Order: sequence, then C-alpha cells, then structure tokens
Amino acid sequence: MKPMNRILTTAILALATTQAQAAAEPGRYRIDPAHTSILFTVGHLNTSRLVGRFNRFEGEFVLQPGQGRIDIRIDTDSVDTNHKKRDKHLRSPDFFNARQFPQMHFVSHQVRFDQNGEPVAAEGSLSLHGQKRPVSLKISPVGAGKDPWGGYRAGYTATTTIKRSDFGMNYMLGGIGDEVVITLEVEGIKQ
Amino acid sequence: MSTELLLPSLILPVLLGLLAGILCRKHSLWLGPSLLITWLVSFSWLRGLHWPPTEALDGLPAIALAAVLAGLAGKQHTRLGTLAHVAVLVFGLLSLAWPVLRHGTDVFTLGGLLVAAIAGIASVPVKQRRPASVLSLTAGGLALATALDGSLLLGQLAAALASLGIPFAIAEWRPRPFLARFGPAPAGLLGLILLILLVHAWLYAELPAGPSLLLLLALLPLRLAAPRAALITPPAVAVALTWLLLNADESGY
Repeated sequence: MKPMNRILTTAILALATTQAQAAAEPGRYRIDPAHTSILFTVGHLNTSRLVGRFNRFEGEFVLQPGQGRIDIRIDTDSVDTNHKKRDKHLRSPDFFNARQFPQMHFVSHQVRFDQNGEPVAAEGSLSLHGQKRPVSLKISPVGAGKDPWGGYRAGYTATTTIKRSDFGMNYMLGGIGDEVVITLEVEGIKQ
Repeated sequence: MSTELLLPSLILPVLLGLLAGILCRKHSLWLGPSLLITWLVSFSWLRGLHWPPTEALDGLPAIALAAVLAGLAGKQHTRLGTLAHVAVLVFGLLSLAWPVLRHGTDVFTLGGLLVAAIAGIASVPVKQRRPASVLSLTAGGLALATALDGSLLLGQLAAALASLGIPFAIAEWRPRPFLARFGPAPAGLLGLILLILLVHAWLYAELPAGPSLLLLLALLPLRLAAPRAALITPPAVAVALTWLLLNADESGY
C-alpha cells in the first residue's frame, strides 16, 4: 500500500470510529413504530426456537444521564408469529389473555449510561398478564444522526430474558418454553 | 393425545362422575354438587385455584360453588330455587364480562351477554327427560370447537364437563339401575357452568358468534319436556363444528 493511500485509509477509519463512538444527542425520543421491531424467541418442544413479534406499540425514551427513562406499551393482541391459528391461540386465556390484558408495559426506574453518555442498561418493571415484575434491559447503541428530513434519530438494541411463569402464564410449560428472550430493535426520533 | 391431556379432561371426570352417580343413588340431591366438585378437581388440575382471581377464568370455582349453594337452598323446583339460579347466572355473566367491559363497552359484547342471559334464564327449570345427553353433547361440541380453534385449556375444561355427563347420558338411553337419576337439579347446575364456559370462549378465546349461537341453541332443549326436543342438539352441534372446520386455517398447528 502506498504511503498516501495508507494515510487516507487511516484517516477514514479514525473518522468512522469517532462517529461510531459519538453518543446520541441528549433529549426525549419518541419511538418510531415504522423502524422499530419488538421480537420474542421461545422454545418449542425442546427442539427449536420460535421467533414472533408484536406489531403495535408506542413509547419514548429520554437520553440524559441521571434523568434517563424508557417507557414502552405493547398491544398484546398484535402478537404475530406468521401463523394465524397460533396467533389466535396466543391471544387466548391459555397465554396472553389479550381481551383481559390488552397491553404489556415496561417502564424504567433507572437507566445506566456509559462514560460517553450512551445508555447501556435499564432496570424497570414489566406489567404483563396482570402481573408486574422487575426486568433488566441490556442496551447497546446502533447509531445516531440526522435524518434527511431535518430530524435527529438514535437507534438501540435492547434485550432481556423473562420467565413467562413469573407472569402467571403457566399453560403448556412442557411444550412451550418458560424462558422468553425479548429483543427490541428501537429507532427513536428526537422531539 | 398424551395422557397429560386425556387424564384430567376425559378419564378422571368419567370415573369420578360414575362414582358420584353410584354414591348418590339414594341421595340424588347431592348428585349435582358432587358432579360440580368433581369438575372443580379437573379445573384445579388444569388451571390451578387462584384466589383472589387474577383472570376471568379464575372466578369459575366461586361461580360453581355459588351455584351449588343456590341449588341446595332452592332445590331448583321452587320459585326460590329458580330465582337463586338466575341470580347466580347474572352474577356469573357480569363477573366474567367485567374485565372486558372495564376497557370499554360495545353493542356486540352487551348484546351477546344479553342473549346468553336470556338463554340461561329460559333454560330453567329443566324439563328435558334426557338432560345428560343434551349437556354432554353440547359440552363435547364446545370442547372440540375451542380446542380446534381458540383455547386448548377451555377445550379441556369443556371436555371435563362433557365427560362427567357421559355415564348418565348412556343411562338415559340404556337404563343403569346402579346410577343416580340425572334430574333437573344437576342438569341445571351443569347447564349453568356450561353456559358460562361458552360465554367465556366467545369473549376471551374468539369463538365466532355463529358457532357460539348454535351451541347456545343446542342447550335450549333442556327447557323442553318432549324427549324428541333433544334431537335439536346433535344437528346444532354438528353445524357449529362444520362452520368452524370450513372456516379454519388449513395449516396444521
């Protein structure tokens, strides 16, 4: 590699690294449902893992060390596993009982930030199926920056694992796994 | 089907129902309460007992016990018995529907509850001479309908109810002198629980309105004295199941 090319490559890499490490601007962000996915993974008959999603939700998060906050509400009847009959079963009293408990709600009590001001974890409570339990989210930043319409966006991946039996969802524990991994691919628009 | 599915919803209720029928042969007043308690054994196996109730389904044992007390107090035949039965029915329907109604009322839900209440009130006092056949067939229909398309748990609970009545249904066509007579009192009690389960399946497990109404129609012969009235039940159940099968998602699940 020629010396000039080496310098250029190093400069581009350094710039890229600097941009990736830059923390998103502090502020209040509304979750953009068009660019956010809420996924769950659960075991089936101890042989495979099924991935499902929720299609309707709303929420916001606040990026401000010391005042960080996450609040997400998910409509349980929007559960979607790419199988109509199974989705109907999941909405029934056997699982979500969506008519009686139409929403699940996560609200943070504490959001921890790294030294760059990026959120890395959140402690909070999840209300699901009529039960409220403490839940921890592990958060990793994906990116942040201006959008073509003059706005500002920040994206994160948040994951947690819950036991559905902790929330009173005990039916068919033998066939459908107890542990459920929840992944949130979130994009927020700064308000 | 696995033993885990069959035992609490079919085998145990048939055996315990038979035992209740033999033990209550000379004390028929206790047949209804014995059968309901037997059903509660299956219920607690499948669902567990939760107090205070967190879900609408958890209130069913309380409704069943209230029905037993009302049945014992009024002995079904008297005006007091009928009034107590109606009071338990209305209380049961309202407590069942409250978790839905508190999120908002709509004409469809209120209309359905009204239809169920009218059908429940119209079915007492039971005059049908073959009530166990009507009950078992309708409960079996509900079990298949919900298990096929909705809630396996509700299907199992309805199957347990159907299984309880099977020995008595057989005795209605081929008399078995060692069994207690399945008279109006136990029929009224089990009919009430079946109606509550049916409304539960419609409200919470998305059992479509058409098959729900057909299963309600299948219960109505309980009020009619003519033995032939029981012949309304099989076609009503068959049409309800055919409806569901024709509209079912074909993918296996």
